[in-house]
Amino acid sequence: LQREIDVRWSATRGLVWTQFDDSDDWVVFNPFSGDIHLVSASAYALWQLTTSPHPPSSDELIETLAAETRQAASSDFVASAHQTLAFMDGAGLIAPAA
Amino acid sequence: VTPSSLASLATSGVQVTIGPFLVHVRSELPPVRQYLETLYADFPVGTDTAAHFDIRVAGSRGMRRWIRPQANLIVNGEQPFLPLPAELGGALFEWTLNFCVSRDAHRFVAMHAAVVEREGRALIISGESGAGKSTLCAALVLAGWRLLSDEFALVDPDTGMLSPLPRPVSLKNASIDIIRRRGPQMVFGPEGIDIENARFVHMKPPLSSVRRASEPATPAVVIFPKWSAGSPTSLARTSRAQVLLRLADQSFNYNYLGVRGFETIADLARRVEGYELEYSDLDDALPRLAGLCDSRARPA
Repeated sequence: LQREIDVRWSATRGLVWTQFDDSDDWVVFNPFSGDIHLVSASAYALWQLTTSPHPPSSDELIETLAAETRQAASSDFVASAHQTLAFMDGAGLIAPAA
Repeated sequence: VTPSSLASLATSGVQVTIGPFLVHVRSELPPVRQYLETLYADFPVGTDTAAHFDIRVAGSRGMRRWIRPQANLIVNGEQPFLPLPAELGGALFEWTLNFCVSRDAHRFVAMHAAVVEREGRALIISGESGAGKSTLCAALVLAGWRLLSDEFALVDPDTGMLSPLPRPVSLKNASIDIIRRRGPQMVFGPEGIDIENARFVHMKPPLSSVRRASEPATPAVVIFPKWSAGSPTSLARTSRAQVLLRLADQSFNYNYLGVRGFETIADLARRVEGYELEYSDLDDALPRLAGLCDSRARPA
C-alpha cells in the first residue's frame, strides 16, 4: 500500500497503440514482451497521464482522471483505478519512475 | 510429381514447389513416394537441391528395417522429432512441412488458420484444433472455393495480401466420413492413426487451386467457427480488436517480427469483417459464408 501511495509512474516508451472504428477500446503491443493487450478507453486515458514529463503519483493520476472524466473519486473508482495501474505495471505499459 | 520425376527421390532427392516455398525432399520409404505420387501429382517438381526447406524422411537401419520399421525426420540437417512408424511416412512429410513453415517462414506473418477464396475475396477460418476449421475448409473447397491453405494464413507484410499455400487438406475423425460423402470424386491419401490416436487422412488439393498457387488473395472476412451438435447456424459480428487479439493468438511469429508483425495483423483486422460462427449443419452454414463474401462484393 505504501508503494502505491508513494510511487510515481512513467509510461513505457516504444509501445504501439491502435484503435478501430467499431469500439473505443485500444489494443497495445509491447515490443519488449511481445504481448498484446486490450485496454479500455478509460485505462488508456489513465496511461496517457503517465506520459507527463513529471511522473505523477497514483493519487495524482486518480485525481486527474476523476476530474477529466467528471467522476466522483468514490472508493469503487479509486479501487478500479488502482487495479488498472497494477495491470498496466504487470503488462509493462507503465513503470515506477526512476 | 510423376513416378518418373520421383526417380531421384531416394538418392539426391527432388525439389517440389509448394506455394511460395521450394521444398527439397529425400526419402527411400515407399509410403513417402506413394504419398507424393498420389497427393502432390499436380505440383511442379525438379531435381535442383536449392530449397527453403530440406526434408529427409529416412528409414531406420539394422533390424528396424524389418521389425516395426520407423521413419526418421531430418529437417535442414536437424532431427527435431523422435522416429515414428514408417507407415506414417507420407503424413510425416506433411506434418514436417507444417513445422518448417510455422518455425521459419518469417517473410510472412504466419497464422494457424484455413484460407479459401471466391471472386477475389478470401475467407480466413481461424480456430483451435477441433473447432471444425478443416471440415469447413474442405467443404468450401468441394463447393468450388479456391483453396489457399487448410493450415496457414500467410500475410505478406508489404502488401497485406494472403499468399496461397495449397497442400493436401488434413481431415480427422468424423470429418473424414463427412468429406468423403460430400466429395466422392476427390482423391484421398492413406488413412492412419496419429500419435494422439486420432484417425486422419489427407485430401488432394484441387488442380485449379494448385495452378493458382502464385496468385495472392485479398482478405475480406475472418470467421471463428465452433461446431456444436444440433445447434442452428449463427453468425455474430466480432469487434476488430477481438479479431486482432485472436489472430495474434494464432500467429506463430508476430512477436518474432515485432512491430511489423503486430501492425500487419492490425491492418488485416482493420480491413476485414470478423464473425463468430456456430454451426452443426454444413449445408446450412456454407451458403451463409458465401453470402458474407458476396455481400462484400456489392458496391456500397
